[in-house]
Amino acid sequence: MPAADTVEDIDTTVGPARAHHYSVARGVARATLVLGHGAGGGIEAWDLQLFARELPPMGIDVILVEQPWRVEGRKVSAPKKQLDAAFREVVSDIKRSGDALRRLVTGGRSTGARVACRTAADLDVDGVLALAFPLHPPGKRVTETRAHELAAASHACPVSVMQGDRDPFGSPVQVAASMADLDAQVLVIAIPWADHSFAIPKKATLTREEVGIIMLETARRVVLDRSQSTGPLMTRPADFSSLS
Amino acid sequence: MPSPALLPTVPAGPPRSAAHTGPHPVGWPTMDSEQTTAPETEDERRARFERDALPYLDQLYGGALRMTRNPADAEDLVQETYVKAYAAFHQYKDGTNIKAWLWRILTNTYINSYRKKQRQPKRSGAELEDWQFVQAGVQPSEGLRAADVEAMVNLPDPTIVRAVESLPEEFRTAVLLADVEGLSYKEVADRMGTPVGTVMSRLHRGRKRLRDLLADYVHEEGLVSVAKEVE
Repeated sequence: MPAADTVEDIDTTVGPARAHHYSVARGVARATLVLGHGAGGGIEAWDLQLFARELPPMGIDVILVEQPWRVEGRKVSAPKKQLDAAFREVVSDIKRSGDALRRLVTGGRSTGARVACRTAADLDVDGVLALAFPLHPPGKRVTETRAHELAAASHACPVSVMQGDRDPFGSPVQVAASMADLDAQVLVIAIPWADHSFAIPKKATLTREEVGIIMLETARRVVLDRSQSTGPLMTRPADFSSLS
Repeated sequence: MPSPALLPTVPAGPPRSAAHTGPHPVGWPTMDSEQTTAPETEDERRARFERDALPYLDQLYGGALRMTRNPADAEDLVQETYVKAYAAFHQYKDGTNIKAWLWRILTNTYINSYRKKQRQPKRSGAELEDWQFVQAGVQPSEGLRAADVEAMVNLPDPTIVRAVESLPEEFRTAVLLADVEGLSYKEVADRMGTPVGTVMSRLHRGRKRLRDLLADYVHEEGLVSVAKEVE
């Protein structure tokens, strides 16, 4: 796991969270991507580490947010109200501290993706990047779906989903179809051969390295993409009309 | 004959000059295109492309199929990827990771087409049935011979027919199916029972040979300006 440039503990109303900063080495970042982890693990997840390692050289600051339940060493994820509260407060803190002056995109893997969706409107982010969105519990009939969380976020900002095509929590086709049903415009990128952890079976025709290229290119594209911007890229230019 | 020869669906294509001076078509910061060695010729570049990029065609198609879940879309995606890759190939440097480069182009092309589709008016959930139909309805082979003959009838001019007839059989079949019948690479591959990469290389060589054979004909018929445009 590459070492973060800075690790920062941030007090939240539900306990101390931890922000791991992976920053652009030279110059100013063109965008900041804040990612949360899932319910079954922490920021050591392969996809989170991939982005933390590879996106800064492309001009994107990456911040991985560790939820208080992980920081405190608990084994079981906190309830979603607490997850949302911690994430909301950490991202607000990042915004206040001026660490995300340009575009700010939030996201996360699995449960972390749901958290980012639920908080997107409040945080007024420029986009949401969902990794392995858990559309429904695996093995069950698709009655209990979380599609509405993605759809709601998509009304606040552009939402992109990277979904392994062998993900038991919902295939890319299911995600795309549920978005169409809800009339939501969401970019669903099917990651070939990948499961919920973006692991690739041996028989696959491509390797995890190549899957990583697809994921990085998608992330780079959706995080930097100006055409996705819902508002001005930077602070609104000063209005001088009153002076004349 | 369309040009570049490998890429039949872009007869007009982006003008060559634009490919050199315009923004990079795939949009990521690229390696500087300054070249210290002599600029390569069209033929050299084509050969290099065939050697370095074409071997990944089947792998890209496999990935594209799993991404699009639809054979027709997967073909379009791979074909467009190769069109873009060819157009930008002068910027690709030997020794860098061409496979990664191709996957990046494919990913961007996929995102672009996805967005384009989203902007189009909806077709009420019929899409899923469409691809299932396409997948289920793999057509029984009608036999190459019949297709050959049928395609030949469609050819307009005896000079062209003679030139086509003079091609070795596997080149001829590929050219007829792709350029006269208008089948996609994947369909041609299915009909001929060969990998898509083989189809592309046969097409490439068949078209090149045809072009050579028909050079005089083009000149005589006063089609030179057209030929110049596509060269």
